[in-house]
Amino acid sequence: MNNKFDALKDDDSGDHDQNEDSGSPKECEKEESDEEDKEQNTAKKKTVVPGAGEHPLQYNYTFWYSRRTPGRPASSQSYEQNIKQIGSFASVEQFWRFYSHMIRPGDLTGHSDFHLFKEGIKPMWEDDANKSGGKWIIRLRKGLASRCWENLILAMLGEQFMVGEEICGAVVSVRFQEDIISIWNKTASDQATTSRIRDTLRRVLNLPPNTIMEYKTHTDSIKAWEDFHGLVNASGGR
Amino acid sequence: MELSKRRIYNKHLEPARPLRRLNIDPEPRRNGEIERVPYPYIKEKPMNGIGVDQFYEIIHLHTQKKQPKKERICYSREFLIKLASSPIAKRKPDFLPEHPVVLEKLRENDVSVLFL
Repeated sequence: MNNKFDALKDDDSGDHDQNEDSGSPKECEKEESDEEDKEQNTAKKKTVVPGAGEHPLQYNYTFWYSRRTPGRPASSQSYEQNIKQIGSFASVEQFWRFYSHMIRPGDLTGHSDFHLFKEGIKPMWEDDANKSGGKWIIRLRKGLASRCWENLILAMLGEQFMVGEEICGAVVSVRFQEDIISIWNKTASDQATTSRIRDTLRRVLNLPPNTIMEYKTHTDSIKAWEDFHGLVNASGGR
Repeated sequence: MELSKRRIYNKHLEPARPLRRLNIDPEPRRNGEIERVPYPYIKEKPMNGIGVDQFYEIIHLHTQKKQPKKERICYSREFLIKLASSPIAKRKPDFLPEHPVVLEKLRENDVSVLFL
């Protein structure tokens, strides 16, 4: 089980830079993540609803944040422990309350990610909603992340993609020399859906003309991760 | 155009059976008609089809179809951004974990300025 989640740790769009070793205080991290587990459990029990007079969203969403902890990528610290729920919301107003109390992705430092997923879907390849899915990936030069991320999530929250239930969530990944935004959908094999998502992305993101968009199935992401880390045999049949 | 539409519409007010016959009817006539007056005929043919389809659609809409087909809640970017400046949207959430990416105070300036 741990291996499964470990495999997710380095998600992100084939970006496998991993030379960030810096002798880490393992014990402290362990305690911290236990704390996080507790908080996540309490957060899960509350169901958010739109407040009176607020504008309801089609779906509830949850903000997540993850940061690569210093140390070997394949360490015992699982991806699931590493990812932290910020909060869930059910209305436009509640979204802004969270969003305006968070650092913008362009101001993040280090190897970190914001995830915004429909409530109940974990930002992991293995989640039931994601396991047959994939994502559109857009690599951005530094300086564009905040604006593109905001355009992306506003399109998602406002149901601009028009692909039924297909959208799972969106991720912005802050990396060393570039940033990556991606949007995940349920069925990687559904070409009508994936091309509609691509066209909507083009329309809403206002990207520089030479921007490359790439679709990647989560199955491929898992395989690439395993190949890179040499885990094909070690993880017992994955 | 307008006139023929009205004519068809009036016929639809009759029971469904004659309507169906009306639809079957044009088929055998098609070849001859096209040769003589192709354009007006082609123009009218889709009207017939749409008329019947619409008729059934309207009936369906008013009966069972209404319940399962729910409207999606869509918002434009501009509308969402406008809501960011409402007072409720600026309050700090009741449950916000302590975290380096979580801010104590509202990041007011760029929410309203950046998007415009």
